[in-house]
Amino acid sequence: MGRTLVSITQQLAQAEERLGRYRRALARADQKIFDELFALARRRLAASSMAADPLPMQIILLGMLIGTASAVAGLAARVEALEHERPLPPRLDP
Amino acid sequence: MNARSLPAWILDLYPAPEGMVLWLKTEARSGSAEWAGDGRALRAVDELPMSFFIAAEPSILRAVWKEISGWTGLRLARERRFEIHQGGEIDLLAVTAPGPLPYRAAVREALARWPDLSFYNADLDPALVYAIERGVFPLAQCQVTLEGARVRAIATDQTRWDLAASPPPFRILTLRLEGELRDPSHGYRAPLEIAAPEIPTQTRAWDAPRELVEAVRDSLLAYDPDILLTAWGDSFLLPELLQLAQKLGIDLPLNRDARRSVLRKGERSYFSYGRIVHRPSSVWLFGRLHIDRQTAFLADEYGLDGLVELARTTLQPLQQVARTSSGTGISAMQTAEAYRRGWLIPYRKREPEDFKTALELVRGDKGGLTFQPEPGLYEHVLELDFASMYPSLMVKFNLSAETVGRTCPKCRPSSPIPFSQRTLASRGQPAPAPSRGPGALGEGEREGSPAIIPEIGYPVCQCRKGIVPLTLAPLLEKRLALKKAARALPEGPEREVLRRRQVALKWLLVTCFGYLGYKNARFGRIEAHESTTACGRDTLLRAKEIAEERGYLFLHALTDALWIYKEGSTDAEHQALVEEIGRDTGVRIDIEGLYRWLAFPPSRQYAGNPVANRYFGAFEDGKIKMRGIEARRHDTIRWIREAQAEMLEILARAENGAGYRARMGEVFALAREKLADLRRGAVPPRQLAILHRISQPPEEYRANLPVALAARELAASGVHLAPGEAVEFVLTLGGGARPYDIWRETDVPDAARYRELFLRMLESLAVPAGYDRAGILAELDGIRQDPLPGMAGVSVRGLISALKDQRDTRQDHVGMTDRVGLEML
Repeated sequence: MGRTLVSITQQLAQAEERLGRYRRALARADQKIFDELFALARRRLAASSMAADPLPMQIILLGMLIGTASAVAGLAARVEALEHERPLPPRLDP
Repeated sequence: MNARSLPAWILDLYPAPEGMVLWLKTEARSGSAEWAGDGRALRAVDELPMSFFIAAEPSILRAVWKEISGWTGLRLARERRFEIHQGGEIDLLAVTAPGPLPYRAAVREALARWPDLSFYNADLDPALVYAIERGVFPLAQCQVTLEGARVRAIATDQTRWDLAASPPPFRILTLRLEGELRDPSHGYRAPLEIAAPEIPTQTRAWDAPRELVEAVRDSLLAYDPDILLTAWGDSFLLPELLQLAQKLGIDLPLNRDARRSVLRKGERSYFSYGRIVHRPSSVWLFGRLHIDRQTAFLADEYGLDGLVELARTTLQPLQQVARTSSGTGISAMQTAEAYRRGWLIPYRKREPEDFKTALELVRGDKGGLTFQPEPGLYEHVLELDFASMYPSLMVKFNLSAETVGRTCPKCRPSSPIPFSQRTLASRGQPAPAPSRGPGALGEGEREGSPAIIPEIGYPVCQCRKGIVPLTLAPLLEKRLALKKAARALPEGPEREVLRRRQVALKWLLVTCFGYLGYKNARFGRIEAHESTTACGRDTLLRAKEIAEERGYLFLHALTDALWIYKEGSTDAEHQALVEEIGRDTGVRIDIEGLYRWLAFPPSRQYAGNPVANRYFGAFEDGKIKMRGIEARRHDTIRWIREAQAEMLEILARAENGAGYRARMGEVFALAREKLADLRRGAVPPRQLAILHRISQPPEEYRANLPVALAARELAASGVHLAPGEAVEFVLTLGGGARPYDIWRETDVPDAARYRELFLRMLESLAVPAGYDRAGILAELDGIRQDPLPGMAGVSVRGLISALKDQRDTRQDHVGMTDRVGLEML
């Protein structure tokens, strides 16, 4: 369908491309994290498209934040379980 | 002259100088009446006056009237008719011609004379108009009163919505080249096979052309088939036969109608949704129906039963249905609906046939919600599918070109109903009844508040039913009834017929959505299209919310389907869930199935990332469902497709994720066998042929891609190739590619490149079980190899990969296994 607007999927790809030189200057370990953060945003594309935000970068950053927070929450739950020697909680929420 | 009345099917109908020609297929029963048919087809003629309309300023219209009144044979009148986009009646000049051919001539002349005026009903299909005017439809069983060859009366007690209507007892003659199905225009030749159920099959070689043409002629005369079913009859067989017959001076009665010559339409290539499409030339017969199974749109999917169903429901003759897209079918149905009501039909200059790939539009359009599933292997996953979601929403919320974003004087704009409340209101509350006195509201109208589209906020008039919902409602109902009837039957040919009929209707329903936003569609408008996807997104999210409220975990959703998981959930719980979603959203949702195991393979483009529409799994009954993987894709070579299907059969026996992993050993054993066959050269080249559509003429390819090599070689051997046409080739040693049609015994397939394709297929199955490329190679060769750069498959990346090993041991209890990635902790 001839879409008038650039889709969020394309905007994300463009943002990643625009930051190519930034990524290049990062240390290799940081480059992996850079890629990982974009993967987190990519996994939340459905929500990002619902946001229909005029500033896509802030939605992309929000996706990275939610993904990171979700990882932290998962780690916290595991740490707590390990401390109290309880069975580990299931890791469910993608 | 005496009139005679007889029962007959309408086999074909088309315009002629005398009016409309009907081919009536009589019943083959030995009646006592002298008119009882003998199964033969009769040619009959009926009149069909046709009108078109012109709208303009009164002064201009008067001038037009004055000028047209000088043209011969036309009847002029002033009329007022309903124009849907304006929402009211408008003044018109009605021009009526005595028959379809003078109608076309008059339209052509008027359009050339006044290209800037508004024309209505100016490009109607005479067959469609005839069907509506007489209350009949193509392939309907009718009672016909004839006076000589003139139709005095024609009527049917069937409707095009009848479930039980059986197809006419067609006599079918098949013409094809002997052996496997191969495109003869790429040089393939084999003897011609002439077959029909009641006569012995004959084969004739092409090097004895006289015998060959005479055999075809004799079969046509002796058997008098209603349908000529061919493979490549459009592009090769019939043109070749006609040419030979002409050269040899043999009269070849392909047509039943001796007054008409065979109609040939040329090939063309065109762009549609970013892809080049090739429409081959076609050969149309009169009085006999030519169906080329190679060009019939989707005929593999629903066969002749589906084509008959489409001809009946869309009011298009069978030959036309077999050569046009379902978009044309939807357009015809909308036109019929408007014509029947006396509404004006907007004129479009372009033919809607270009709209070939509406299905791809649905898949590709980002209007539907597309989630990204976490790659991995899952257990006990429930898939729910909304039944015909978009058409159901169009009917339910009256989404149509003329209703979206519009309110009429009868709307109560002070009390618009938000979408969410509207869906709640649909829980058993009847629609508001008309409150004004009689006559205030017309047919299909009721007073009401406009619905409000979520996200976009367009109001949608609910007072008058739109043309799109009017067209779709009976279609949805019929498909549902066919599905229900099929379910009630045991597995067998009868059930298969019902299945094919409902699948044919499904394609119409799928297309209708794309058509709503198509600028060349008569009744299309982009806002109506946007509204449909917005309602769809809201409906899908509502389903997700309801499932989550009931304790299900949301895994994935795609436009109108939902994948969810709840540990230990029961059938009763699932049933209760779909009932609640159906009640709440007002759209029927069905349980597609409960998966024993379900795999979402990771993306190849971004390792470790998900892909929305690639998955495969085994339902509880052992049935496999797959989307987007090699075995399902049409561009996968047969060797790989069949190997993957065999592997999936092995995996289908696994009861759960652990069983899946356990059976990977058997899968690798099979893979080793297949690869050994490849190495030994024991895989026939047919199995290795790659099918590829060329996007430009062979000589314009710059790069030496395999497809370019093959296309150029074919072209050099004298084959004409147009963009959009398919080329089949086998990859050969030294980076070459040989067209399959000119494969030589001395050619050797390139085992290394085929092995790579095979490995990629194997990855789809093995990666969800926890293997990476190196692990797969180790299983195949017994040697651990380092992965090549960029071929790491899914490797755990990111901040916390150290936790991976720990994680892998503690997964199965949550019903999902081997999920890799950062945020899944």
